[in-house]
Amino acid sequence: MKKRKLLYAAIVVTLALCSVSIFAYTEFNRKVKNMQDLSIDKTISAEDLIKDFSIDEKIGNSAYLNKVLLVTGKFKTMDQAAGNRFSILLGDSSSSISIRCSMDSSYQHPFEYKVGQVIKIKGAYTGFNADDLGLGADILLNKCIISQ
Amino acid sequence: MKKTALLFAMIVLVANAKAQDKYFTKSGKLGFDATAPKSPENIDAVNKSTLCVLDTKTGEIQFSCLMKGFEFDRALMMEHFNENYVESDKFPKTVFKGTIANNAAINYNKDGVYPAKVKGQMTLHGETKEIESEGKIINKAGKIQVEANFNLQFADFKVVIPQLVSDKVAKSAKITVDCMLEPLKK
Repeated sequence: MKKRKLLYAAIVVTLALCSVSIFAYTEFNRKVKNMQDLSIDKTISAEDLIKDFSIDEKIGNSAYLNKVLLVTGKFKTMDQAAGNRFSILLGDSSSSISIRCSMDSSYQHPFEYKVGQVIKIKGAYTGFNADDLGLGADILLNKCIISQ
Repeated sequence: MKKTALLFAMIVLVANAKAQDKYFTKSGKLGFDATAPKSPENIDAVNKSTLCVLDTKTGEIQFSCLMKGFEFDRALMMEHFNENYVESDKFPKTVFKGTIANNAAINYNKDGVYPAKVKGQMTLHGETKEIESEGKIINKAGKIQVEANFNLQFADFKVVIPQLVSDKVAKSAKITVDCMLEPLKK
């Protein structure tokens, strides 16, 4: 009887240790998800997003921080940095606030957009850069992809 | 009428010349590496939306980036970085404001590679410290590339690494700066 109890206890402890080890291993090796695989937290127009930050940066931050956004807006311009890194800017050309979408490394820049062309971009909101230096303010989205 | 036109042309020229003193990017690259000899994996990340502004006339240089913009390969590392180490929600931005000490020795009108010594103040995790770094200014085809490498001690910025992983994370982070600046056109 005692032996059987000990055996059960050993099995339980072994199973628990295995579960913890598997969990720790999986958790440690968990990769950051691709933008394609992340679910959208909020769908919003560029106009409304910019409006939220124009009213109060704090309100915008608390509403969108750590959120994945699907933004529909007018193409403003594109920045190309060294190493084929692209940023697409959405918004109105007359506004000093833009939505700056740092494109995912998978983005291949397939074609040129026209200014004013409406496009949909999915990305993770990472913060707001106020216009402290007279360069225009930016709502930053990271790891962005073009949504069809 | 001629005088007015000449005056206007001079004002435009002066304004243009002033703007040409300043160069900037909003797509700079800032790398971070805190890999220790005992780290099971590389502890590194990159931020591709770093803002950098350089005034070639005065040598004043400024960087800033959002901590949430650092991209890691592993999710757990990114979570620990943002939630436990740099507390990104509380301190969302890191800023460096400094000056190129040997700015007079750099000929911004001539293509070339120039060594640069930068000194200034870095604000990270709510703490501001004086830092110095050596780097390169590369002038090429009307653009300026800024490259620098330096170390940041976590303790200087009150970033606490838990005892449990203290031997797996370096005590300091290697920071690499790579920004291609374009003339600021106003």
